[in-house]
Amino acid sequence: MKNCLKVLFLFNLLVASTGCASYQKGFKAATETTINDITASNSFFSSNKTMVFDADMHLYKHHFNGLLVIKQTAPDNYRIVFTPKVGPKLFDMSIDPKDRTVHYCMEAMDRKLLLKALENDFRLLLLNFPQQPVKQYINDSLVRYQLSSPHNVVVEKEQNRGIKSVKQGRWHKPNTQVAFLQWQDERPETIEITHGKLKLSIHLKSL
Amino acid sequence: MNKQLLHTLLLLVTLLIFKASATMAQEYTQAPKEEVLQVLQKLSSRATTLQSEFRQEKHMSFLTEPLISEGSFVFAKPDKLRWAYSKPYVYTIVFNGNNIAINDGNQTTSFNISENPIFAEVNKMMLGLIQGKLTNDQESFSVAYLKNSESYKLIFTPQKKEMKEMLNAIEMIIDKKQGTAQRIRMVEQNEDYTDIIFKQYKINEELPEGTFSL
Repeated sequence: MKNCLKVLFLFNLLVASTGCASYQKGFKAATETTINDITASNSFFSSNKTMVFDADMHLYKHHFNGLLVIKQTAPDNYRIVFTPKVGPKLFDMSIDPKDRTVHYCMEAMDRKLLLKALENDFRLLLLNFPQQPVKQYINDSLVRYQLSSPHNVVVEKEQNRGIKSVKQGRWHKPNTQVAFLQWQDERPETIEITHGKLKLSIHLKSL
Repeated sequence: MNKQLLHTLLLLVTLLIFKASATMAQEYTQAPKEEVLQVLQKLSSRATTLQSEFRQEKHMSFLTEPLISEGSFVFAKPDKLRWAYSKPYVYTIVFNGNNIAINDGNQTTSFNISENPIFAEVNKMMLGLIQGKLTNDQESFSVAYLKNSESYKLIFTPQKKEMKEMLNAIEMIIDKKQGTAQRIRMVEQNEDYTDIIFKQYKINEELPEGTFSL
């Protein structure tokens, strides 16, 4: 039994180290002096401006189209509303560094796990409560930041530009991935939020 | 411009503003149900097609400005409706009998109304509002009938649990002469609301072929 545990431990260690090594491949450890931008915050959400996206949400076999509205209502609080183009809103929540408040959620979507997943997605999307990354890696064009909170998250940025992707979980098979695409005027035109295991995806297009 | 003319113009503008404010502020009092239904019935029987531009304003308590979109709708008796947003996004929904087609600017999806109970309700509600038939749906809504000198105001209060959960009320302002809706306000449970303001109605104009297909 003891041997068995030892093998399992070694196996886990091997898997963990391979996971880390794979996302560092081609990258070297960076210091504050080698990169200019040391925060991993998503600056285009850090303003009082209301951000409105044309949104498509696929949840299992259901499809919802509407508008996702994001507004910073206080320095450490964001309001997030999903409303169909025709008709009343589907959900309305606020998130702060520690908690979420659900102001409204239609009954069919009012499931603890779903709301938790959406909250996590929005935290990864906004990266709104910036912190110093625990590790940074760099290659010729990209910087990768490993964050301590949210847990197990790596942010990839093009040097001196916006965020390219945010991944939670394993680098090559993330549980959640947010991809920021087609940057124009310091904001992405489209954003894709996808999940490895959960059948939930959100496609956002800037309006 | 001489001074007297300027004074006269100012007086005229002031009077016009006062008149507009007075009209807008005109309070609604209870209206006889039959009188309102008669006006709605008159439009319903003479209009085989109805078209209008609209401006939609979504008001949310945490936003200083509403979210604004614009578009148009086309209705043809008995159950065809094309509801299209053109600004700031392209999104069209067509109800044609039991079929629904949606185009989001990129692709079109079609399905049968029985496959999606939410859209079945939306279809029923929108057609009901446009045709004035929502007043008959006592199982779903209780209706208050009000009027002032220029318009009627109908307040639909949801009766079904699922609808009550989403909406507090639907208010509809109807032009007294035409019988057409000037504004529809959907008030949500937390008092956020959506206004749809209609303008430039066309009644019984010929519709281009393919209006109700996507």
